This record gives sequence, structure tokens and C-alpha cells, in this order.
Amino acid sequence: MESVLKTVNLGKRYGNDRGIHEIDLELHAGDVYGLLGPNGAGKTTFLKAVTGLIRYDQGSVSLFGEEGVVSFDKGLEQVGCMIESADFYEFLTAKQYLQSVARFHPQVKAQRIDDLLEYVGLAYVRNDKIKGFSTGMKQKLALAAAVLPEPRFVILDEPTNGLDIEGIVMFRKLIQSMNEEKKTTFLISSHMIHELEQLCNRVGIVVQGRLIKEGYVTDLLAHNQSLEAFYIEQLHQHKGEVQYV
Amino acid sequence: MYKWTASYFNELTLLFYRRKVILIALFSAALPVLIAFALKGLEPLLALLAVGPSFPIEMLSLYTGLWIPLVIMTLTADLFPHEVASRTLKLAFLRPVTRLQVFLSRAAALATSVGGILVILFITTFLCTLFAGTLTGFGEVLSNLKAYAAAFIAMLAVSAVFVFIAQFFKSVSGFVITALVLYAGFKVAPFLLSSFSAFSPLNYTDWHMLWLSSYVRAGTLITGTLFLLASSVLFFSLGYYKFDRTQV
Repeated sequence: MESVLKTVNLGKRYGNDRGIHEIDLELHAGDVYGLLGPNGAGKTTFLKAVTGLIRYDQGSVSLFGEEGVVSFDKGLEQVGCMIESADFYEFLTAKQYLQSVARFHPQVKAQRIDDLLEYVGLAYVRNDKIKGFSTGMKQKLALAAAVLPEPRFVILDEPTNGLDIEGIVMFRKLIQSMNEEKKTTFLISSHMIHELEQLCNRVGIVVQGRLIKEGYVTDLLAHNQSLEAFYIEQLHQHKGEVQYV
Repeated sequence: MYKWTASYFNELTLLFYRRKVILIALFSAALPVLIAFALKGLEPLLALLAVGPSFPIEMLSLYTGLWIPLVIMTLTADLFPHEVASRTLKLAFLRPVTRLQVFLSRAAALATSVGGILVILFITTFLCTLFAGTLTGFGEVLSNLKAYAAAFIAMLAVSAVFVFIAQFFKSVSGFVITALVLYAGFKVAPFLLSSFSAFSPLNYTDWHMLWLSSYVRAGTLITGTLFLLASSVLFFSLGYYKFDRTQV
């Protein structure tokens, strides 16, 4: 199976001694991978390291077989990202922003921008400046930008932050349809564990910068166990506390 | 190549979607006209020709000494520290382009803006002299054109210095204050140490005047041009070295 993302012994240490340590992970085409972990566990740091936003101190990253550091630009040709928060040039309109993203992907037709704005429910504000958008609207726009070039791999960091119920359903359907129809691979970091349980075939739990557990959801969960119960159990085991959930 | 072109075009459009850039362009075009009208009004008092044949060069000196460096500071602040502060730099880093391409496209967009202002100024002052009836001939226009091209090279070097300085800042205010103080300091320094100006690219802002004199040797002009181009390459390279290490 084609390797989409591979990290070997990946590490990044910040001045306050936090960061990520020795993360080995491989995602294959068609995986929908959920990254779980407490606040400050290192999930976003991991996503930043695999996309080249920060420089890692040790290990290696490869995207579609392209070695990170050397050629992130080549790897990112097939990757759509939404990392940390939905930040924009607020003086642009929604349509202008998507046009700026499309410039890097000549295969994207103008109609695709309109269709996508329609799909995420922003068609009525396509010519409005982003400055006036709510958090949820910005999140929808960031999601639209991430999937605009129909990438083979999509990285999403807290994608449902600020989304309304309709937005969450739209988000879930979008991922499911892209995964089923085009075998798009997803790496999703989120605290919405019930959402991830519905979407992911694999999950990983990051605690204090280390990937303490990972695997196929079907293999990890005991009979009738929910992903939430499994996650809490793993956290408590890691902390050495008595399990009571 | 299309990636760099896309990045460059993106940076240019981002600049032009900013309201302040439109205001800068309008002000750059309006100022010579306003000054021409003001001087015209004062003509009886001054007892000299207000909008004379040297008007395009006088305006060029005003622009390269003050207005264009201020514009360069403003645009550099928008292109670098502001993007770090507003966390929009990651948008550029997450596109399928190298950091070198991102940096070069920004530097090119800045250079294009500076070139744009000089073109606007050239056309406006040309029209002013035309309407004032003081245009002496094609030779004068060609000579002015030469001075404007020389001024562009000097402004490119100023841009390179500011882009380099900008890499040390994560806030617009910190950068602008430092850049202003440094620029003023570099302008004052030659009064204290006369040889300083020869080695400072920020002190070549009136360098275009040399191109108008028939007494200046070609060697001096070539040396100056090479110094400014070398300074541009040096400071842009140092700026890129820092930019490449930016973590967002």
C-alpha cells in the first residue's frame, strides 16, 4: 500500500522542554487517522513538523516518499492543510482567498471555487470580506481551502472548532465522500472523539509528546467499548492512576 | 517556474488588495501635481520658474530621500513582521513552494511596487513639465529616464536592507521604529564620519544626481552600480537566511 506520510523517530524540543519525542508513524493511502491527546500534548507540534512549519530536531518526515526538509514543496503539492487556527488575510473576500490558493494548482477550475463555496455554505458571502466572518465561517473557509485542489492527503487540526451542527454534518460527509470516492487520506487532530469514532479507521494517542498508543480502531477497542472509554483508559494507564471509567 | 509566478502574482495581488497601497499610489501621483500648483501660485513671489525643466529630478530627490523609503518600510512591515504577528505567514508556507520562492516573490513584489511608484512619478512630472511648457526636448526626457533607472537601483538596495532588518521582528511597530531610527542614523552618520556614506547603501538615495552630470567618470558610475547591486544581493541573502529559519 502506498505510503502517504512516514515519520521516523521524529522529535522537536522547545525551550520549555515540551514538544514531541521519537514519533514513528506511517499513514497509507485511504487511511482516516485520528490524532487524540490532551491539550498541550504535542498534536499541533507534530502536524507543524510534518508540514514544515517548524524544523524538527531529530528523525525524518516523508510525504509521498519525498523527504521533508529537502523538498516539502514537492510533498505539499498533494496535501491540503488546516493547521492550528483559521487565519486569513482579512481584507480579502472568501472568493479572492480561494482564488489565491488555486493559483498554485493549475488544474483547479474557476467553477470548483463556486461549487465548494456552495458546498460549505458560504456562497451567500462569497464576495464579502473575511474580516466580517464568524469563527465558524472562517473554519468552513479554511476547510474549503484545504480540499480545493482535491489533494490526496488532507491534514486537519481541530477542524470542527466553532462549527455549527449543520457545519459538523457537512464536514463529516465531506470527509466520508472524499475518502470513499477518491481514497483521500486524512490526518485529523480533534477533541471531538465521537466524531472521530465515526470517521477514523485508525487512531493514535499523543501524551506529553509521545505516541503512547496507535492502531486500527477495530483492533484497539474491546467488545462494545467506545473510543472515549478506550482513550480515558489509556490516559489513566499512562498516568499510572486507577482506572474508574 | 509556475509556482514562483503564482507566488509572485499572489504577493502582488495581496499588496494591491490592501487599501493603503492604493492610497500610496494615489498620493504618489497627486503630490507632484499639488506641489506644481503650489509653486505655480508662488511663482511671482519666488521670481523664478516654478515647474522648470529640473522639476522631475527635484521631485525624484524628494521621493528617494523620504517618501519611497517610508513606503518601503510600510510594505516590508506588511510582507514580513505583520504576517508573523497575524499568523498568516503559515498560509504561504503551506503552499507547494519553497521558502526561497516565497521570499523571492515577496522581494520581487516589493521591487515592483517601488518601480511602480517611480513610473507614476516619472509620468506625472513629465505631464507637469509638459503642461507648464518647460519641457526642453527628448534629450532631457532621456536623461531623466536614466536618473530614474539609477534611483530604482538605489531603492532596491534600501529595500534589501529593510527586508533584512524585518526578519528580526515579529511586530510591525518594533520593526518600523527600529527601521526609522536606523535610517535617520545612517543619514546623520556621514556628518560625523565622512567616509561612512561611501559604504552605506542607505546613503545612496540621491545617487541619481551623479547620472545627470557630464563630469562624473563612467568608472565611478559603474563602481556605484556594482556596489548597490552587491549590497542588494548581500542583504537579500542575509534576509533569506533568517527567513528560512522562521518557525510559525
